[in-house]
Amino acid sequence: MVLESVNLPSTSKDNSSTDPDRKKTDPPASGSDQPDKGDVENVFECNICLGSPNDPVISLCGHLFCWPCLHEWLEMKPVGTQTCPVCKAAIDREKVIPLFGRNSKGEDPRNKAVPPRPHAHRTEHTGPGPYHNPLFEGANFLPFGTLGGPGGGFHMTIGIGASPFHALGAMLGFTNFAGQVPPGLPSQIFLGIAMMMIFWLIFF
Amino acid sequence: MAAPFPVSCARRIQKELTALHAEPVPGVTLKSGPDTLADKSTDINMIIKGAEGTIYNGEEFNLRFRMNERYPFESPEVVFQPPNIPLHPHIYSNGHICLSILGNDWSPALTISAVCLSIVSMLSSCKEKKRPPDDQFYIRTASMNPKATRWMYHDDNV
Ligand SMILES: [Zn+2]
Ligand SMILES: [Zn+2]
Repeated sequence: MVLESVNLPSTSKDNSSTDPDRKKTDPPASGSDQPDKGDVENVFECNICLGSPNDPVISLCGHLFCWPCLHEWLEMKPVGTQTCPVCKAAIDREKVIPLFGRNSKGEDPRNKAVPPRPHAHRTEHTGPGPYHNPLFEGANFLPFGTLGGPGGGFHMTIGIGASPFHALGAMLGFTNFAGQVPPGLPSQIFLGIAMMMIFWLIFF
Repeated sequence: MAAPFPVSCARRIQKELTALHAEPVPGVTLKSGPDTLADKSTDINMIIKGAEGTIYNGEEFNLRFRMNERYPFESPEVVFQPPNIPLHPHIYSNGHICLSILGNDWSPALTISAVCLSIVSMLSSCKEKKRPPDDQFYIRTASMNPKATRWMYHDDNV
């Protein structure tokens, strides 16, 4: 399906963005085979795959997911740093509530074997930083660069703007041919080296 | 793109495109999407128009989203395309954007439309057209893919 450009007046009649619960009346402009069934459908969509949830579970913060979807996300983060994809509240597999509808067998989806999936290719060390959801706020910048190990929450404010570590890594010969920083490199050491580099850049 | 798209991933992208048609982000136009969902091509091109009353008023920018088969668990690769790359303190002259939700703060609950909103607001709130201080250094050493960069996010609120 080729999607054509659709020009949308940005100023015309108070657009939907202010009222997410508004009943949608316009059919999708594309030749989609999925008719819009309105709000009820949307409220019960999985927050990850955006489909109707398969083995639904709900987090303590009230967000709905398919268990396989949430499981895949949790697997990407070390235990203790796992957060709700929607609101970034702490979340863990023992604290989600499976939902059982009338015809469900009442089997806890967490006990089912989740089909094996490829693991994440990138390892992120993300401390519990503040979260700005652009869906609800206009702002989108974190005030800190967040480095450091899981749980460490090593925050650092840098005054000279962005300092892409890739570049430093490249200078120090830590990158492979594809320009990737090796994931196993301990970030604290890396940070130390980066700081030395920054001082070197400033003073020499 | 090594692996073909899993069905769930393709379905989610389709849902997002449908939603973009139904409820577009103001100032943002979908230029082209993947030709077919089975296609391994995953580029989605958007046009962002500089809003009235901002320093980018009247300008048009091309923004390319590239999803891999791990989407939405992994963030999309989002890059401004030449020739017109916004002069902005968080946007490098190679089109790379320093924006935390595209890196460390990515969440699978975020969408193309949420990312567009973020970028529009980042442009709209900017008061001075300039490149990041380390632009020249960065573009000499950066990979084509901004996701290969270890970003440190700016501490100012431009
Ligand atoms: Zn799901
Ligand atoms: Zn939540």
